[in-house]
Amino acid sequence: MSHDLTIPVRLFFQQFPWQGVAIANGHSSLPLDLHLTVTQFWQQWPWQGGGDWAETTVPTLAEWMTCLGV
Amino acid sequence: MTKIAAGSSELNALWGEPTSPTSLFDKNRHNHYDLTTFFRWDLAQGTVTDWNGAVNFFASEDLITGLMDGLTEEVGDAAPVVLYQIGRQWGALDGQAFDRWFTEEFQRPVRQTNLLFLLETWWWPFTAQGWGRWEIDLSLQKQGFLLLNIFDSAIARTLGVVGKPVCHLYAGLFAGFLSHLVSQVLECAEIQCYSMGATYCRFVVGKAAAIQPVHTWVSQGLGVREIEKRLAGGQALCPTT
Amino acid sequence: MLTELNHITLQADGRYVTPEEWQPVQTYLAQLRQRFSAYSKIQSAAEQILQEVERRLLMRSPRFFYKGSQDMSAICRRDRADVLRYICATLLTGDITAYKQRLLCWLQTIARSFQDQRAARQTYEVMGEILKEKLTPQEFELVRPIVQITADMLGD
Repeated sequence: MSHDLTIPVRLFFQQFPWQGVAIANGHSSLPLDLHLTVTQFWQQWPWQGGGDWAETTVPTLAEWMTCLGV
Repeated sequence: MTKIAAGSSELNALWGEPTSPTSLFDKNRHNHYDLTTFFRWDLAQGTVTDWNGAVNFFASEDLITGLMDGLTEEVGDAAPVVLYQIGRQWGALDGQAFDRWFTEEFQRPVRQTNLLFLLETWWWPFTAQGWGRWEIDLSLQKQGFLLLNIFDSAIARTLGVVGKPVCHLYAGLFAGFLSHLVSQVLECAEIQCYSMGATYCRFVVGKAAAIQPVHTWVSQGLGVREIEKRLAGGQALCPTT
Repeated sequence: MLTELNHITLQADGRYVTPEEWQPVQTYLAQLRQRFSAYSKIQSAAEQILQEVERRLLMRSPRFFYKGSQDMSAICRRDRADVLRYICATLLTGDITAYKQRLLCWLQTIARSFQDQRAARQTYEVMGEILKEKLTPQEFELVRPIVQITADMLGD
């Protein structure tokens, strides 16, 4: 299952249970606009929804073979 | 006693085809490399069969010393070359076996697989058998080289510090297997060895013509840094992404 | 504990076991009730725990499970479920050595192959936070080193 990033962020969170946790942890006081789409929502934050961790790409065997000139 | 389960595919010819032991294991499980999971001990038959169905035998360090001494007595200075060739053939045969069990276990074509994952998966049975942990270094991949570190080479550990590279069997094994993998002749040179006083052994694999000078550099006493600088100075074969 | 017991048996071959050698076994036996109780709590809440891990990771970044254009959510979800089960089993046996040999040493090389260390470290740190919320402090104290070594090895 992949996540649809175009839906409003409110709907996005509703896919997950335990909605009470954020409130219990006192996070509900944050001024969040839950009508934004998921993508827009994360673009508000300093890290702007990065998350591609790999610094370099590991080649597949076929790609490595082209490097070898095979 | 060192645990070296040596040989795999070749031994099947001597011991007879094993009776498909893989069916006894959970095929969905990939982390099957600890001693008690990887090996199946049949006391009645006197056999040790591994996860991939190959019959193994366990040998002591004495066998390695004996093998090296015996070979040197028989063929003199050619012993390293003979060991390298044995390794090469072993690697090629193991490559064929690997193609089969990898595609069966992971249900995906070898060529479309992440290179590191593929190589790690190939080496894990060797780790389980006591041939040493390794580390793959892709820093010279654009130049067409693969660097490999072996942390506890069974051979170097046995022979101790003798002042020159001794892991010819490993070098041959890497050359044979990787040649099989890319369907092209590759060679391998050991550029740093535990037996030269280093903490681990380091190998470089590449096309035959590019590896040829490496042997000369090693015999001239060049260190790994200098060798790798020279290898990196070679023209990049692949555009950087 | 099985590894330790085996070790003690071998070590004490030809003599009696000393009280010092017994100490880890005694400690383990004293913790057993809490190990069981933590195990059943995690077992019955496993689904919730896993979903909460995913939710918190996605809050850090909606592209947390992406490698380039590829969405790896399904694979990561399967791995988290497997690892949580191993953590649970280790909690019961107290045998971190076996956990390393059976899973972590191997999975570490796989995480490195896919350059997944940073994501793996965050994943198991978050899993630790959630387990802390679900368990009593005494129970969490037993699971903490197991989660810690998971984050350390896979995140390295």
